[in-house]
Amino acid sequence: MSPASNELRPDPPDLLHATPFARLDSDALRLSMTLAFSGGGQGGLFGEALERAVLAPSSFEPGAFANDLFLRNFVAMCCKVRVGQREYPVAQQYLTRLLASPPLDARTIEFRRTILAELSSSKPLRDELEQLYGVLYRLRKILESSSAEWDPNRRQMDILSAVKELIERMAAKFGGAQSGLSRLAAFGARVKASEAFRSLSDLIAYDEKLATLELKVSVGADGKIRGFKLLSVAENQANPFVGSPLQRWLARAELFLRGFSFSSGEVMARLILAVFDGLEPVFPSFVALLGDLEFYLGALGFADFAANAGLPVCLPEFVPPEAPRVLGGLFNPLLLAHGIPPVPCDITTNRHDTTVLVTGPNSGGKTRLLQSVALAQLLGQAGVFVPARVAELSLASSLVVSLIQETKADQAEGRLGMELLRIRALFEHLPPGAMVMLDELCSGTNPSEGEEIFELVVQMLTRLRPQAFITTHFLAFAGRLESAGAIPELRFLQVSLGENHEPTYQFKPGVAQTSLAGHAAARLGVTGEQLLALVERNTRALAARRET
Amino acid sequence: MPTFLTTPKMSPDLVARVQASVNGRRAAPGSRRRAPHLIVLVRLAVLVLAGTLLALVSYVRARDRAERESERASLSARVAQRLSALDPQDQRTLPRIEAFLVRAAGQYEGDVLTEALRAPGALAALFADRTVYVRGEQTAFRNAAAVSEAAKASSKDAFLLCLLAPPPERSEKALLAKARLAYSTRGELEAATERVRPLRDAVLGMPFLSTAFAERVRAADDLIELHRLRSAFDKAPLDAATQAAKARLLVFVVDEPSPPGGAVELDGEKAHVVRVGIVDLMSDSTLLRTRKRVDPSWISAARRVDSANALDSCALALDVHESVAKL
Repeated sequence: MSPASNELRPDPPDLLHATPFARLDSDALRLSMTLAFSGGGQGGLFGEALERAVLAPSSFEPGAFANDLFLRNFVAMCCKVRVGQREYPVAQQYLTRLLASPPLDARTIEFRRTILAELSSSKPLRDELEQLYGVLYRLRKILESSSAEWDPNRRQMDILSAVKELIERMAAKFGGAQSGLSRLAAFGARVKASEAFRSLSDLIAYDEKLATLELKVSVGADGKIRGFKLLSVAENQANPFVGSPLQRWLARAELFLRGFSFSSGEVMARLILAVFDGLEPVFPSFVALLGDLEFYLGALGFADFAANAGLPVCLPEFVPPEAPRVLGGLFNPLLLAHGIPPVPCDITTNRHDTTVLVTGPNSGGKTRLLQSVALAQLLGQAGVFVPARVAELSLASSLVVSLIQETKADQAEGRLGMELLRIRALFEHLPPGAMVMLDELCSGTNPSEGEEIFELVVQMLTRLRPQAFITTHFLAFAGRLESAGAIPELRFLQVSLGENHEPTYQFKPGVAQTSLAGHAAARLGVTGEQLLALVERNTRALAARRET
Repeated sequence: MPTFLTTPKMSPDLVARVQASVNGRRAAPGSRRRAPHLIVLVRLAVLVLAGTLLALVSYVRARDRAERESERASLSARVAQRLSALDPQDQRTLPRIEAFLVRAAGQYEGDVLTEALRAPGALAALFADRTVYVRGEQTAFRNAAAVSEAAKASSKDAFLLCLLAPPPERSEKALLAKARLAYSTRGELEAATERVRPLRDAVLGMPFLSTAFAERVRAADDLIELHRLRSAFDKAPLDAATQAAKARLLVFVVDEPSPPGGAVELDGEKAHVVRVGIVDLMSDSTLLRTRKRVDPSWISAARRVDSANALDSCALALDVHESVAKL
């Protein structure tokens, strides 16, 4: 676009990937940015570009878990970006996509963890990143607004001023970063050293200070100004944009003859455009940078959110599949987001590549446990904090979560049929070493036949060496599996009960003896007496209506 | 293409971008593009037209200014030349005459006949000097402004002719000959009274022979005003006014109101009292002041119809001569 031979071509500061790659359609984005700069009213420019951004290669299939983990809700309610007292609206869809697509490259996971670790340990660095985000957000707002709202030149100068502040902050504030944040400094330094940036600085100086006037003001006895006396006028002659008054007038006349309007504003508009042309290649970088910053600030927002509830989070340690799984202080952030104080629990297994059967009473926290473990795995592999005080995880090749079985109007099968289809689909796409979460497997048929299918599924699953967690109410069957030890890869967790057989939301090895369905029924008002009382009440009500 | 928007201090890259920005490569989204050459042509045409109009207006204004100043200089020179012919004493002549006339129309102060007029031929010799003459009704001389208005209606008449050249006898025939001479259009009256100027000449001409008029010429800010001033100046009886301003003698006739009743002739003549005065303007002294009664009843019926006023006036002049002769 620029006629200059030395077009500015800095590599965008990719903060999400160990090896940077082009995530956005740069040419299309440059065009959109140019239109936005010119005042085309490109509302939603940043958000739409981020939604179309290419993500790092991932072996995870979001459709296999995102809905069951309420990932969009998690992002919206837990990953808020708040700087000072102000909360910023983040690109939730983009963040959801990022979290749902953990990078295949382990170096990228480590790259992100290093950045988050540095931000967590260095308050000044985090403050600087938040300030940088504030300026970037301001730039986004101006670019996405229409120029009809105020003077076009002033709007464009505001955009250029924001860009200047961004570049200067990047170059000056992140030079000492040890993590990938140092890419900000490198990017800022490269842009700052360019001719385009010098022109930008000169234009802003020209806009702010064309000349300095020394005035002498006379004030009368009544305090009112009586007169001015101009002592001296000093033009900023060193600025390349400063010409003589005659030249400025001739420039206006020239523009008039060229078909523009005869005004000083038109001259300024041409100069602004010339400076923007030089910086145009840099603008697409800001879109990706906004997404990157929201990723890290959102993760820090999650950590703050949990910490405010007394729930520490951590960056997990990744270990081999045969190493023990450790999840200390694990909590369900979705509960926290809905105002329900979660009860942290400790989960340990002697290795990762096992299938864990979870048993316990209804409403004992089994499903929430599966959500929490899956979220921890997903977040950990995305390179951000996991909802646990301490975590040792093993990288999974994929994630499948099947917690919610909704009845659909057009479903072709009954409950058992749908259950079997679910199992079929699972095996069709499940790679070895994946994490699998199955809630109440084979609960849609009679226990004796269901147990056979259950055992078959478990046996076949072990061949893929998954990290599987399966809940079931086939307590007797689970007990037989435990005592027989026929499947060596099976591990057993049960809900711990209190003295009065109430669930403690903690888990311990073994198989539960009862599902305590009677307790749940009583708690939810489904005892014989309670149901009889309801029947009699409804009968009396109907009789009364007939009499009237 | 070079542009005035660049400066030598700009980097080559920036210069190139500024040049690109003014070459119209970019357009705001949604803006309607027109052919650049057409825009340039239209704007050039507008500029040339505006420049031509500006030059034309400037030329016309300059020409008008030159013409105005030329006209002002010409008129000022003529006014100055006229003014140079008058000394301060001359400039005061008209106000003094007006003052004399207002006083003469007031309470009659009694007859005066100075000794200087006693000598034979003294009266005739007196009229050898420049003289101003005026006649009007007593009420017309009540103040200076009224005197000016009355003077405009007063001209040389049979009284003046008969005063300067009395008829040989007081007969209707002799007086009628003088009256007819006074009314002649062949210039006999002017020839006989060439050293006498009616006060009207001074009233009409002196405003143009004043420093006030010269100041108006200097202050006139447009050509039309100057043309108007020049036209008025050209029409003013300037020579006659100058002569009147230099007059040494004032002759005036004040017609007192006629008493109610009595016959009125067709030319308005009626029996009434008339005041006659001769004033030496050099010494501000009254040489003659007399009060006479005129009555057209002595005139024959045939002449009374068309010449009652002239015959009475001529008779009045004879009365003045007789009064002087009786001294």
